[in-house]
Amino acid sequence: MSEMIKKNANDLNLNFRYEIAKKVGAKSLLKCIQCGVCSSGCTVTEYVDLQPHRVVASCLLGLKEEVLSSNAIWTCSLCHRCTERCPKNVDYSFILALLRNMAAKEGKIPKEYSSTVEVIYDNGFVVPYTEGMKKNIDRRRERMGLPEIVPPNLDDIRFIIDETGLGDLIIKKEDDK
Amino acid sequence: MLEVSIRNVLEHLGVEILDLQGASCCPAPGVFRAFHIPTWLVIAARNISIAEELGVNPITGCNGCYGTLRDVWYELNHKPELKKEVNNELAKIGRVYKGNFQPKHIVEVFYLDMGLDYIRDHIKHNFTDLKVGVHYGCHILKPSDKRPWGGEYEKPTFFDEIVELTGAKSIDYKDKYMCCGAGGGLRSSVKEVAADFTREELTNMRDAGVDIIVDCCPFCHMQLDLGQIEVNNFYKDMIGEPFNIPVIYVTQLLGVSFGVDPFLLGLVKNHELQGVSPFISIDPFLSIVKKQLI
Repeated sequence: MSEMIKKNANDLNLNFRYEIAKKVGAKSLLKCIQCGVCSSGCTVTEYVDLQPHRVVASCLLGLKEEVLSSNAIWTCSLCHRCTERCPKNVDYSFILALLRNMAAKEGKIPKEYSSTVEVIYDNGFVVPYTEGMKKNIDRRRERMGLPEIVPPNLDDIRFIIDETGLGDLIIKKEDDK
Repeated sequence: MLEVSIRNVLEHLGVEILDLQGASCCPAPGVFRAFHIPTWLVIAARNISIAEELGVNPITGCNGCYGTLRDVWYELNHKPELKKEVNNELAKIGRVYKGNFQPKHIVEVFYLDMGLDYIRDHIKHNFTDLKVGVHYGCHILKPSDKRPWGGEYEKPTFFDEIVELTGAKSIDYKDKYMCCGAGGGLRSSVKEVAADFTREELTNMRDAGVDIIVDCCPFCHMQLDLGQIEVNNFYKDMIGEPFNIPVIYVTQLLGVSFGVDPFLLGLVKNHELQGVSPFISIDPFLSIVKKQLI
């Protein structure tokens, strides 16, 4: 459980709730009644510092920094139960994705996540498909009678990653090293 | 091991498979969508557009890929503005996304497109006593408004019905529709948490007395299979006996029932194949196959 946070009213980011809610699909944030159904059905509820309903409450209260640095936004298996069960149709699953996007923008990315993106940037796949690994995979596939892999044009994938803005995040992360 | 079973079972059912050449990672919903939603949309749209060029529906045997492809397809078809933005990006690499071919999961193809009767007609051998713990996984069911199951996500039966066509019995167990634990980047970032989910699920299945687990997602498959070794390791003191429940993919189960050679279903592991499933021995399952089907 998280420690109690003491904060002056002046230090709250009261705009935070609108920053989230203005995104298409996230307006539902404002409808939360704090019933806690999301947290009671949540599969990771016992592992997070802020349970789903408390993340929502913190967003509404303007505790931007606390939310974006919590482990709660990364400790989620995206099972969608919260969104499905919410009686007010708050799309917590999507709001969490937005919060992850915001944290990523500030460079607050767990390295296990950024390394996955880097692998895809380098290979086009989530499993490395170069050199030794490639040889291994090709040999195994041949043995199983599976057709050869036709990999994507990496220029296309990298172009998309760079062009849409994700590339900046990876570079930013590398600058931090 | 799973792919070979998917290909051979689909071919056995009269499906011609066209590979999406040049397709990339779907991309992974937990990671890519988490970082940057626009990038996730464009890469997924690029993959779907490869199927469009071939004039076919993209079909996947993975809940995660299904989650990404189906969600993106749904989003883009419901938000014309977003579709325009995505196409602006795709135009720069000489592609276009139309949205006229809906991404499908193979279980959806079996149940909704082919239908149970069609599958039943291909069954040659019936199990007489096989208790199965069916694991649906999350993204084949949810978000339920973007899935073809009429909004059902708490207690669907379509997958059980497919499994029971083989004569096997789908056993009810506690929290059957629970997450395997792997998704969302959890498996790579906090393995112990992922394994703790898996521990709970495996315990529930063992309490219910299942002989095997049947799933329809390679990531769940890995988590439930390789995960047993991790659970046996991390939670030694909590679980009593170590787990060793064979994990079988849906097309492997259907395949043996159709009479397809187990070699063509990835059920016979070549010793040179290190680091691929099954990690937990499936010999108990193969003995059941031998005893009941042959």
